Amino acid sequence: MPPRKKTTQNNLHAEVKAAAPVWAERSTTRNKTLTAGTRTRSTRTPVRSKPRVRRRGLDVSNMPWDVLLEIFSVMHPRELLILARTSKEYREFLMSRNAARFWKAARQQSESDLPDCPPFLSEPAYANLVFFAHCHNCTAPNVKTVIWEFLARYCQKCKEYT
Amino acid sequence: MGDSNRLTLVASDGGKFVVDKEVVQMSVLLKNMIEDLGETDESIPIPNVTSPVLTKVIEFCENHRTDAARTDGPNVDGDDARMRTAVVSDWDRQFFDVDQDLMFEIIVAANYLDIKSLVDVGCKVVADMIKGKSPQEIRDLFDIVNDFSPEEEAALRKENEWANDR
Repeated sequence: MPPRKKTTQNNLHAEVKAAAPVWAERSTTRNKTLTAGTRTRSTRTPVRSKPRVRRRGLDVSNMPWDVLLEIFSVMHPRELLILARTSKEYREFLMSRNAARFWKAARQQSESDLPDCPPFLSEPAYANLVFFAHCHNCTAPNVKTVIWEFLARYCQKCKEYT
Repeated sequence: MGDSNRLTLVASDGGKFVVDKEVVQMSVLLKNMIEDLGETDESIPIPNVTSPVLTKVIEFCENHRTDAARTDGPNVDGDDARMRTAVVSDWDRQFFDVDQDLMFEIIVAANYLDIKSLVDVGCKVVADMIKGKSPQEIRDLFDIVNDFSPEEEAALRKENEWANDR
């Protein structure tokens, strides 16, 4: 089981790099500091990891993948997005491409009548579009309508400006 | 020993638990193990689970032994239905009213032992804890350190970063 995960992860990196150079570039620099440092290595060489305060609870780096899947799939995509805003580690984890299945499960479980994620949007981007009513330009709240042509929400001001 | 309806489970720290076979069999992992072993007097070691966690897991199974038959029956609705219909009773909520480390250890152990009802209830409890909270409230809840700079945090609200990650 674990070796399989490794290969998919490797493939995934390659895939992402090929598909989206801009994003991949940014994320590889982050991977060096974050993924390698906190996630992969800290579990194997605890001596090297900083004398961190032992974290309570939902420690994404040390939880079995299938348990996370169970937890995340009973959450609403809105909550997943909020979780992804709490820290870099969570963000890295939830925004990685192999986390797409969490988002999909969460969406299907909580909003089963919502159409599938369009192929040109990522699951988190789709969740942001559908479940967060803020202007995608100035972040003003309470923008009720999605402009599907632009896959965005714009407040009156920003709409007039553009 | 000698009682064919009871089994001894041994936790990772050596703690011994004598439990009804019927209760033990709520764990799919142990159920299969028992079937493979056949009639035996030997105790079953559970190397991944400590005594405090195993105590809780057994407590849950003892309490839910009566509804085991129901979920074990011809329920072929599949995983999705199982998830949606998982009901968290008052007893379950009380059961999970423990410190967070223990709570997550119980869920991980339940997953390892393959006790679906316990995994489902545990995950629901965690999801309910997160529900409706702001990022800061979640950080407080799980002791997460906010390592975003104020600028990064502002940018997060726009969520442009991953918009093209496909």
